[in-house]
Amino acid sequence: MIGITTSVNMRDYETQDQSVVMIPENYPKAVKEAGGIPLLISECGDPNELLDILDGLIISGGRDINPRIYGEELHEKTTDIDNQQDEWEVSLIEGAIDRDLPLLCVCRGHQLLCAIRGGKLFQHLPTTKGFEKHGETGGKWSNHKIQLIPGSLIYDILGEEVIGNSGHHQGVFNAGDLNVVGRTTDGLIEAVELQSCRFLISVQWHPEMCGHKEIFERLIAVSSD
Amino acid sequence: MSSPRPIIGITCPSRPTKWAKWELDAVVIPTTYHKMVSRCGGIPILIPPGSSTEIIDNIDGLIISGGPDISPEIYGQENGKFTIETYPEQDASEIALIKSAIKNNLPLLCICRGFQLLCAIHDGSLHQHLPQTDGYEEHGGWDGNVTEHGVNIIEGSRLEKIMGDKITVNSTHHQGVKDPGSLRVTAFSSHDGLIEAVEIEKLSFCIGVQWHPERIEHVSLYKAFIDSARGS
Repeated sequence: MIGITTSVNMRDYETQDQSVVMIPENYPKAVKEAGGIPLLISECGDPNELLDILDGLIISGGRDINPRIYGEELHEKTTDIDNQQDEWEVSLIEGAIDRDLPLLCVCRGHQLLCAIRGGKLFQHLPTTKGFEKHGETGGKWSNHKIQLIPGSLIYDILGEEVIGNSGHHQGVFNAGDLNVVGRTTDGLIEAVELQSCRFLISVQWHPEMCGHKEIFERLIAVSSD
Repeated sequence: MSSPRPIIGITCPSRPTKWAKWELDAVVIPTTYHKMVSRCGGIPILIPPGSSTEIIDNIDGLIISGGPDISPEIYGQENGKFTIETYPEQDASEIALIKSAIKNNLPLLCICRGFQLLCAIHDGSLHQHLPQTDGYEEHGGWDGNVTEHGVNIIEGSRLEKIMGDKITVNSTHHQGVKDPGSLRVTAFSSHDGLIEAVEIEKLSFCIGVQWHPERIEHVSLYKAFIDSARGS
């Protein structure tokens, strides 16, 4: 069983301005197509209780993380933060690493992982020197190539080069104690791993949207061991 | 040392949803369900549409949640004028989950859409639009509006033992159960007699209700369900 984190937002749903749990359907579909049982998990209760019942975990994309986590003030383009969600996901990530539970971090999840391992983020790539042309933001998507480093787990899964998508306005500036295993041609850190873990892959792009099913298949294979 | 908290699966709809500045298919469910489960002693996990029944072996109780109208095809009718959004994939996976839960005597709580689906697959049928159904025009709120009304619960039913014989519920639905099929009816609306709850007595816990107990202080129903799941 693979847990997938979700986000809480306010939406008009059944009744006006209701607090709802949301997750793009691509994530559970990718897990199911790769042979896993997707379970969606939402903020509440003890993260350890959830980790007890899961065989693997995906920290999904979503809103910006609070820059205080990496010791910075809020940039004007960093909005809609949710401290409770940050804290809950940090506990899940730390618990998963402690237990060596297979872990895939995507987009927001990737940024949060890097931040808590001593890294830092660029808070707004379109105004960061050298990354102005990184990709689309603000609800649009673009594609770019990512070079993967031989010897890494993700290289073993996807090969030396993949096309990933880009719809994010923040990016990883420094990955702390993690191994950087993939970058775009502008040098942005797109993939990191912690090679002491059975399976810990963290990516900036969205493998669930790009048909990178091999990542999910490997996650599930390792989770089933 | 308290006994371990039971794992409660909650089914969810998926639909086109605005997400930040883009629109994509997303699983969406009000936070009220998982918060109530957690508050009443369960570990909530959310089950996306299309899930296989393998999940049944890994949970201690199942909630079929509220959501979009079910396909009238399930109870042998054509789509009425007001039955617009239906999701056959969600219908199919929830029907399989309900059947598997009943077969395995897994505690089951069916809410609103879940209640209607439970009745439909037990040879029941629905009123497709109460505001235009003789006798039920004033049943209650729908299309985002919520009203309240009384419910009379049948003496001797499991629901009566949990909640007592007279309660007030929230009402926000435009369809309703016309015929409960083979299920035992355990509650009716006090103002118009609409079927509001059913149960299967021989199972350890199988209750369906038309209203949303997780949005009002109906903690007793969730607690009874989760206590039953703890024992399974």
